[in-house]
Amino acid sequence: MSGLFKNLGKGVLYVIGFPFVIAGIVLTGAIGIFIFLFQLIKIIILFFQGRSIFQPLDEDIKAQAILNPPLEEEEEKNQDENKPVDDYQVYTTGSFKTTTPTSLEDKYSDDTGSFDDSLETEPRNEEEEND
Amino acid sequence: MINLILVTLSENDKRIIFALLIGIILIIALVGYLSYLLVRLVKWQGRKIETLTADAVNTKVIIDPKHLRRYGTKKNWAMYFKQAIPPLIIAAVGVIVLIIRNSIYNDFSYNPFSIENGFGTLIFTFKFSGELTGNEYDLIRFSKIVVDNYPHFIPEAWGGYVVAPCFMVSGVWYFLVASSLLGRTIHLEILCRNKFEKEMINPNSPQSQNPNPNNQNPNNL
Repeated sequence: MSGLFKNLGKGVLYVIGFPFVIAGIVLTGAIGIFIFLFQLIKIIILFFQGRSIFQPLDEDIKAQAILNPPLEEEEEKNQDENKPVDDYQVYTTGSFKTTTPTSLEDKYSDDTGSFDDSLETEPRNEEEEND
Repeated sequence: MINLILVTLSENDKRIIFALLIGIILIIALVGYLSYLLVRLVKWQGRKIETLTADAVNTKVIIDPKHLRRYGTKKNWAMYFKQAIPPLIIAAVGVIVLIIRNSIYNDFSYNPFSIENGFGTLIFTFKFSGELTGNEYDLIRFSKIVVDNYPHFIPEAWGGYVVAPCFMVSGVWYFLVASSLLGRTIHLEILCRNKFEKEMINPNSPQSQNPNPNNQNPNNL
């Protein structure tokens, strides 16, 4: 029941407020015409200066710089990460990269069919087998 | 006065009163619902100012209300300008057509919405031929409702057929644009007042996580 009265009260408020809402919008529309003319003059002036009112403001540029840092800064960061390393590191890194097979064909291209010495296992103990 | 109180209503009067009551209730409901929709529209459009200013505020480029008001106003007006261009162009087209039509017919008192030679020829119009009967015990009675105009096409009314729709479309469109401008302006003012208020309560404290002290769980301290 209270909900019904609440809705009824809201409805009455909306009905009473309707002319004021309309008046507010109409007044804003009338002021808006002047704003439009002001913006139009501004656009014409800015056009001859090679600018536009739709281009980002200083605040937008600063915000974008914070949100998306420019590429130069990123490159600087990357350069810091790729500091010059000593010869040993270069050698190990380079050898690892060049000797790493990329596919199965590359992996077995030098395969002559013989067992690799490093893969040889110790001779089996016959006694253990008999057990 | 006493006669008015002691008036005896005929069956026809009762029907008219009932119909009028229903009509008034329907109109109030319609106005209320329209007003509700308008308020919702204004509020919904107002939230768009948050989208426009969010980046600058969240990155702390703007840190005081005055700066936000200045920046938000610039953004608001730029958006309004962009939105207002189409309806105003349509209205301008209507005005140009009206001037051309008036120049051709040399008639600058032309009403494009006229029933005789304007847009009104395309719609039904009704004539309420009611009048007071003169009898104090009778209410106002409409003797009959007459159709004043049936839709018909007049070639001379071409100006009205072009101009009136232009004005109607641009009027409704501009009304919506103005409502969104109003909504954004109000919402910007609310943001300027509330956005930079600092909270005294630590957001990580258990009190702020459970703001209702009645439902506070003593084990969850």
